[in-house]
Amino acid sequence: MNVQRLGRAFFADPATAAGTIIVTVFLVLALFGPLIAPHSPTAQNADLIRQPPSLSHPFGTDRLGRDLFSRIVYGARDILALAGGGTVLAVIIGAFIGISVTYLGGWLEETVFRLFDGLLALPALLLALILLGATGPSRANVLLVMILVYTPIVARVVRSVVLALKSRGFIEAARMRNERLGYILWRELLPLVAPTLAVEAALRFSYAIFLVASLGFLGVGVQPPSPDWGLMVLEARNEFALAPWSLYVPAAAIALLVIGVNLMAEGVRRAISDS
Amino acid sequence: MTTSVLSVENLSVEYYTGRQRLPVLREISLSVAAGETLGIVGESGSGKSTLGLAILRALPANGRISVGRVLLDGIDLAQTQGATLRTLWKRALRLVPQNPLAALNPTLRIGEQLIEAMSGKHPVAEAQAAALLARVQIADPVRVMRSYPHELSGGMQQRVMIAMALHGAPRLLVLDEPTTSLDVTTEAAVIDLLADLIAERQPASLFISHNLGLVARIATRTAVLYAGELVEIAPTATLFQQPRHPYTQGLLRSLPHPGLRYDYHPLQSIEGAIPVPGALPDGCVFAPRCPLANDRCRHERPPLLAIAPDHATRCHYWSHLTFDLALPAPVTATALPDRAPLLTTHRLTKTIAQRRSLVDAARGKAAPAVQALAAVDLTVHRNRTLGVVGESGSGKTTLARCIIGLTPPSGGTIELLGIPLAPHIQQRPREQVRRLQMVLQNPQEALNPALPIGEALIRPMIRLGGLDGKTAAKQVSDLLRLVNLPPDYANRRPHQLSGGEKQRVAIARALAATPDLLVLDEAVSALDVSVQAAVLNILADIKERTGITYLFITHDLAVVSYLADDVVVMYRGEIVEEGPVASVLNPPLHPYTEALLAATNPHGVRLREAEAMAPATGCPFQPRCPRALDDICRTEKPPWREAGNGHRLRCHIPLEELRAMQMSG
Amino acid sequence: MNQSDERLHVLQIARSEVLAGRMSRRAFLRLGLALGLSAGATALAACGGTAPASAPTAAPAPAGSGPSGRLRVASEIPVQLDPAFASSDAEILILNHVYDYLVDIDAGNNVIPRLAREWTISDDGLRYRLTLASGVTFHDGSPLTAADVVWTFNRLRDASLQLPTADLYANIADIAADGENAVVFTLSAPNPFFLYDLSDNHALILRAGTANPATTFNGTGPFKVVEYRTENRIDLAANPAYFQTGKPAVADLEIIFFADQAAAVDALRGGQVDLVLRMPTPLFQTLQQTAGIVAVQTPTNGFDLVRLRADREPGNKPEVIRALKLATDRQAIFRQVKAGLGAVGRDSPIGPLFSTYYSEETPLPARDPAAARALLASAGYPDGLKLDLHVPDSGDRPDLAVVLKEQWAEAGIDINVIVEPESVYYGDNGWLEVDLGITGWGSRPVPQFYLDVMLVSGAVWNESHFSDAEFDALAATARTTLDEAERAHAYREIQRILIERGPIIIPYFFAQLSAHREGLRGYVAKAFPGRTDLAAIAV
Repeated sequence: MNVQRLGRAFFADPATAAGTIIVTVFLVLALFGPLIAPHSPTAQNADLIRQPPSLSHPFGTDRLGRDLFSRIVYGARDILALAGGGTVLAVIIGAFIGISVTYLGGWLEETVFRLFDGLLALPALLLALILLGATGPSRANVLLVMILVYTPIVARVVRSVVLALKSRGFIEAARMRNERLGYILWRELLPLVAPTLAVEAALRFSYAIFLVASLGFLGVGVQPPSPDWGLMVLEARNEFALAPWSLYVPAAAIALLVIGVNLMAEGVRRAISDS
Repeated sequence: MTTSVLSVENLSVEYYTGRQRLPVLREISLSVAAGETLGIVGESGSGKSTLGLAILRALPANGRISVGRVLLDGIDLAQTQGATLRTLWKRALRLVPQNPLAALNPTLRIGEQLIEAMSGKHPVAEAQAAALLARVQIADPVRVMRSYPHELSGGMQQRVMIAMALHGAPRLLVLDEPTTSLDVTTEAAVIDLLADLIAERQPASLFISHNLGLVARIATRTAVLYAGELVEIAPTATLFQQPRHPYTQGLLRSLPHPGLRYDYHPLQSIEGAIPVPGALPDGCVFAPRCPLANDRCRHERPPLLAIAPDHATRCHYWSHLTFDLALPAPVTATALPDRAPLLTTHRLTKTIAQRRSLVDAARGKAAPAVQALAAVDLTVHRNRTLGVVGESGSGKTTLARCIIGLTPPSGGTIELLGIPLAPHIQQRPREQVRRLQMVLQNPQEALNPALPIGEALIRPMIRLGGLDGKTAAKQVSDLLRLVNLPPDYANRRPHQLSGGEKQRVAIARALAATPDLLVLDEAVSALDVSVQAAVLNILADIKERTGITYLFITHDLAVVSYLADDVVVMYRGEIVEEGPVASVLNPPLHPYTEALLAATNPHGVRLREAEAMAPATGCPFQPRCPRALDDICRTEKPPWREAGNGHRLRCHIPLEELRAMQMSG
Repeated sequence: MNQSDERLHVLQIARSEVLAGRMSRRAFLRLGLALGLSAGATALAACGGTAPASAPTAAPAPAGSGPSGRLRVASEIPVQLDPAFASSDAEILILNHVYDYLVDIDAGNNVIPRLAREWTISDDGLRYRLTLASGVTFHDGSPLTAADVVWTFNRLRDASLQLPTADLYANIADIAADGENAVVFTLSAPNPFFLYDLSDNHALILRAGTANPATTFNGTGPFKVVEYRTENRIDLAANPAYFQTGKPAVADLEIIFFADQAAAVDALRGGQVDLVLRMPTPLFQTLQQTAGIVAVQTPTNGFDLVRLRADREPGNKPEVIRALKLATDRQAIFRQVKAGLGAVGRDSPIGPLFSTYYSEETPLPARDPAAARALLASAGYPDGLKLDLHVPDSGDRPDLAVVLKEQWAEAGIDINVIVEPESVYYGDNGWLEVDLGITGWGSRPVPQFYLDVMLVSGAVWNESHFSDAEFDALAATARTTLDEAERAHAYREIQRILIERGPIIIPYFFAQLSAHREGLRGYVAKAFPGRTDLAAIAV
């Protein structure tokens, strides 16, 4: 009943519904990519270079004769998996650190969060560039970087919630019955942090999509020939006058997905704060 | 009666939440003359604060006056808009809110805020503001005007609010629980001041409070609100002596009157809970909880019947009601049992270091420290209730937390059945933890909103009782029955429970571990009187049945005199008087105990507010003591004086003199 | 020369190049440029070319009316302007118009006169006597004398100054003035390519005793420096006393700096510049379709080299090398990556531009992924090969990598593309270490250079670690013989060896892509754009 009410609050807003539809479409593209895409995302055809959109190539082809529609479809898989995976891992690790370290407090909390503050002093993109410069670009490193960039943010948000909960009566009551640490952290605190985490995860996800695309565009993210949308924008930059669609298509995909996720994140936030 | 200044006619107010319209006030009519104070009482949820805001036209954005008139000097405030309303707010309408700190701007000095409120020109206004502060008995107006709100004590902040409310010639003054956040001693002084100022400036005043005793002291007439309806209105004395509505009677019977004792006179609580707006019964709103209700009451809504020129009630059967409080039985002081004590503390000390500023740290100044507990020797006997009383800052809560192990003491020892206890609860063996449990002050945060009630009750049995989950689950319904809650509450979540029910669950949870000693830290302070009565009765009942021992911490002497066997009076971390409750309170000997008791008396002694730091030498109470002797009190610690029957106190004044003062005074 | 002497000689030349790269301030980034683009420098000319060549082929601007108008040229940002340290396109382009070389090299790679109007070489090949043009003056009015030339070259070869050219000119035993107007270079050992050395990018003639060559700008060249604004632009004005009649054609020359080639092309389209000398393929294609713009492409011998280390697994297996070659479709690469601009390669650095040496005698086997797969299996890789392909992020190299990945996948070769900034790719000599890499090589006036520094055993930049006795012998023959037919034969054999077993794939040769607005006359594109003759252009 509670879930129902949450669901109703969520879909009551047309903007949220629109966001959800957009994200769902991309999710379907990602999940069923091989069934939907007419071509391989990397298959080249030297005879079909820079073809404008047509029936056989709805989004046209790029300078190497690759089908842009197929690249967008497979790229959705890449960006959603990376951004989604990075977000989920960052939220899990951030929640774990945020809850346990904040509850334990003392020098541990001081050290960990000073360290996080240091990391957060740098803009996310800059931090990501520094880290990727050190580790070298690869899918795994992009994931790692997203965890490193977003974990401190999640942990800090969680911390602010836990700090307020820590002095509540029910936590003192737990201490008064020699409660296990694990029970306090995961059974008592986690469910109360969960709504904040959900909002934060939705928000982080939209940032993560943008970060993955930005890293791709800067050439330090996923490596060619992966159909990374940001990389596609980068590669199409010099082609603009020759094949404008090869720039428009990935740029529009990024914009649409970010807008969709943002609308959905706002819906999650509103639904949770309303109920 | 003269023509009234304020006349509320048939006022109804609605709140909008989502798409629902909730009637929170229905057909309220009342009038208040200039200089008169009308008390408004009722449980939380009765709509009393909404009434104050509606009259001031200060309802929140989702609130609306749906019907009715609010006439002030013949002008209908309900129809007033824009500039006129703003002018009225500035000149005639005033509010003293419950929380002064929230009402004052934290970034402006008091002086600036006062002058702005008075909208005067600087040099003149400054003098006027200073005079006004002097009028609300602020000793050093110049210093206070230069201060920021957070630099003042709660009592001072409230005096500033009163000064702001009373400048010029206010026509209407709404006092919304103005003393709830204050200590009893301060409360007494503020109430006196308010009464004085109302008499002097002659506004029509509404005094909104859940505290019947306070209303009795300041209000000339009193209106009782229940579920958004005015159920009874009468001159205060009449209302208290001859209430003609079952709800009013219930409220009065719930009060632990002086002389009542738990073992002779169980309090009469009102069963059930106040209905929420939107789910009001068809007939009389009070019918579901009324012991006298019949079919007529459940179907026919009673009108407000004028049973005397100044007395009206909303009851079909007012004429059938009789009211007499049980007569106090003579209470004799019971001697302390000559048994090994359950728990003792020896020279228990807690020093709390305060943060020093960077500048002070750089200058090498030591961090200032506050003695929360100064060498406290406490003895708790089995199957007795030890009341601990004192103002805020007296160290009562610190004492409780040290005993439980939530706050490690700085020095001294605590022994449970002769075995010393480790300072931290984590270091104590399970058996010791089980024996000492505590119920916290705020029922709203006592329970984890994410967990069902059943789980909250099962965990202590598993962790401390050594039971497995299944066995523990079977005992949940017994526990709930112990605190008079139905077994199906095990599946509910905290947000489905009222404040009183939550506190009962919190008590049940503490009892689940079958402790020997239950510490109750202001456990009933946040509850409405009717609910408080129910909880007090449950506590008394459990004590009788299980032989449990209570350490009952409260600022409310009436509750202590009702429930406690022994009492300890604390001041600034020290015990100043202790003994059987009857000897200590009747009559009070220590000047501080005397002052605490006098606070509820309209003409008792009044204390100044406490200084920020305790005096370095002598008696800690000496700076405020109305009976302080010249030198000795300032230089030497007072000695313990034995008053017999286990009653002793610390004072330089000999016992005989103290007794003589009580006889004469 | 015996075998070890030859090796030493090549090493010396190569080291000077390394120094040239290393001693510039943007060391790593610059290395690529120095590698590819110092066209006139240090080349080992094989062919005769010792006689004075014909007049410049560029159509001179109409003479008579005197310089008029303003020419605005886009360029990258120069870092410093001391000729002795010049290495980038932008730096050479500026200096080439403030100073003069003794001899120049034309678009056909021939040595042509500049300050030196004629020269004679002794029969033993050790003594070079060059006669200077008469009446040449520096911008400060002082006349050019043989002493200035002697001073300039003594500075360039002074070992104590540690200039990048010290090694290049180490073979000079003596430089002497022969009167006011002639200079005599005496060599320790014969060097048939010495005239190309004299046209090294750094060898601009300064006035004797110039104290601060980086800021003095006192040359004999066609333009005088008016104002130099670092990172922004350099304004030059025609030198009215220039010794070549009809030059310069314009009164004012502005060289405007752009950090980004796309921005330079935008400036050309917007009319803010008249000439852009370099640009990526897609921008060039765009300009080809733009009205009012003339897009000019010139074939060069620059190329992207795909190479596999041959001194260890898997490149030490001849089957693997052959499999890679069989799996590659050079025609498709040429179309996809280069849009058909330039020329298809045949896995040898001797490109069609060297018409006398280029040969299609040895057939390049047709693409056959199945055969490649079978070869891999026979080499012990029945499940195919997995390799990291390191690629610098410049030019079309990432695209080349992506196309190769796709083509080779059919032959069971799984490529993991790693795109790196040039600083990473060239840094710490990583490009010499990796197994599979793509390196860009610039255009040279003669092919011998590539063989000597890139492919003979132990060569400094032998990134494929190729070592083949037959190849080494052929390269030595080509380097030393005076018989043109023998040299051509040696080069044909070398092309055969490289097609058969060279651990390299050269899929294409670049075209130099430039563009100017309509109405510009006299522009001749050069393989190395820094040596473009702007003085010949009229607006």
